[in-house]
Amino acid sequence: MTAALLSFAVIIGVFLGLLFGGLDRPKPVWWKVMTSILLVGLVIFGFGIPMGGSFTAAEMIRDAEGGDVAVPVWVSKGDGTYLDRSGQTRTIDFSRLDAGERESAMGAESLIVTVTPEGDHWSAESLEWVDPPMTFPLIPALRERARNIFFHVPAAWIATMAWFVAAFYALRYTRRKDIDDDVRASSAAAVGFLFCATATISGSIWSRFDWGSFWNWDPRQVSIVVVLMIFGAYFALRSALETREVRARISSVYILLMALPVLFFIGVFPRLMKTLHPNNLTLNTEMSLLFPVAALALTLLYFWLTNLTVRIRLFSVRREEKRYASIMDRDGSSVQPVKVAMPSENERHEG
Amino acid sequence: MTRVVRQSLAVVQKELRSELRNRFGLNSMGMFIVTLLLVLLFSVGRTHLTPSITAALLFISFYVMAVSGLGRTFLAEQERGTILLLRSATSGSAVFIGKLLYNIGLSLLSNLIFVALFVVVIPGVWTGSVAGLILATVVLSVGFAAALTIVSALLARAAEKGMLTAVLALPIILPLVFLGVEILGTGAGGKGLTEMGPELSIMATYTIVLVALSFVLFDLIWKD
Repeated sequence: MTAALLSFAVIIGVFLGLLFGGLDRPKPVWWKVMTSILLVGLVIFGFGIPMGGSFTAAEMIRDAEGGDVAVPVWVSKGDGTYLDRSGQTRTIDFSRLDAGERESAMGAESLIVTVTPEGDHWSAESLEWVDPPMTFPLIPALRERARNIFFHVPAAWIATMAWFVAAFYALRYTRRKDIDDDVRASSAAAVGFLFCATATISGSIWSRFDWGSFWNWDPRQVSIVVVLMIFGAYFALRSALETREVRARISSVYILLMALPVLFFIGVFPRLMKTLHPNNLTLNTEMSLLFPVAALALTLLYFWLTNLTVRIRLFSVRREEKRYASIMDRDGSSVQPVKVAMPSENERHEG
Repeated sequence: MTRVVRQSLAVVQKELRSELRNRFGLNSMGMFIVTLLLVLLFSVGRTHLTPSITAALLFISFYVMAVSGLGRTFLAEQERGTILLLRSATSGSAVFIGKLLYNIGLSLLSNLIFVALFVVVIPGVWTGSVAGLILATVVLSVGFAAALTIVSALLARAAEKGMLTAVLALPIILPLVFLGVEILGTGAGGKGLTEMGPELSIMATYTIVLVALSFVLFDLIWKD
């Protein structure tokens, strides 16, 4: 279910990212505004929505970390007792709170309080939220680190998608021999490299705190590093090739050849080895709504960055062609430059 | 079709002839195998080799032999300045098939000799099925030859060739690394062909797809 929503969001993102302005014309204003709103919303909601666990989660954390740890729980009011999201009821002692906080806690329908165990009941340490409009569940093993899911998972998806975008333009280059397609392919790979590095680094830091070490031989860790390596080898190859046309032709073939390892590490490899990554995530409504929004926002960010990179690079390609054309004119040579297309006046001002 | 076959065989013949003309290549390959084996023997000493270490040693040897021996196919043409002659005389498919066949032959020869010596010289190192060992070596040799032929073709025009061969070949070879080490480890641990079967068939499929994809892509490199 989560994977279906996520892939749906990424597909929508690809359409929105490629349709309006493509990779080499300025994006329309509404597009930029929409993407900015989604990104700001992702940061605000991703980091801002409070986490409140169940009593079971609080007990698990207490057992793991000792008795005096204060755990935020989300509760709604029953008669005299408090009801958590898994339907359990407990008595909470509010005597440690000051008078004002106690009053607002009593008047609320639902609240998030941090609690510590005290004998057979729970004692409230501090009042976090009164009537929170939205909450995330507290997963005992992850706690606040669970928020990384909105950034790490889409980044990994987009890194792989970036290879497909680069391969698409590389394939088009081999058909049409238009140097602009090579600029598009290499820019798609360059921004993809950025996302790939983000996924790798955020993943290994996460892995350090939840699985014990930065590197765990998890198949998905292996495959994201392979994708990183493929992008790295692609740039190494490009820098070793001299002329523009040879560079475009050879590196296009290389990125297409990489279809094989990419498909192997996405499709076959994870099924051969045991993974530590959860296969079925159980998210509450707020999380499973924000998750595809995060994927959409970051996919749009990917296309925005790629669009800017392509336009900057195309600008210098055009400048070079113009200089070449003017030299040819001055020498009175009969050789005609093949293609001199400047961006229109209008585009240059908007860009 | 017959024309392509004839031309490919001519390319193989040409490779063999230029190789045998000075014997330099074959001699140095033989010496390389012996040296590699001696280095392995001296560094292993009397240590007992576990199956996974045996697999790793075999695999590293295959990789070193492939990168040093097979990566030069097209570079040599470029350096001798004969690549234009080849281009004008034959079609791209024929060049690729010929070079690939020659590389497969070279890789099979060196790897099988190496494996035979390895098993004989270190007694008890391979307790599993011998047919499995030969089959795994054959599939790995073909896979390495295919990967390095296409990478060598890509690098014929590049500036820093030596370093880049290993870098560019690694992503294509990595699936063979994971599968190959698994298979060799299973075999060295005394298992038969049936236990090695599933991974062996995945590896063979991967190799076949690699050969097909390289064949399609080679035309794009070859045509200027």
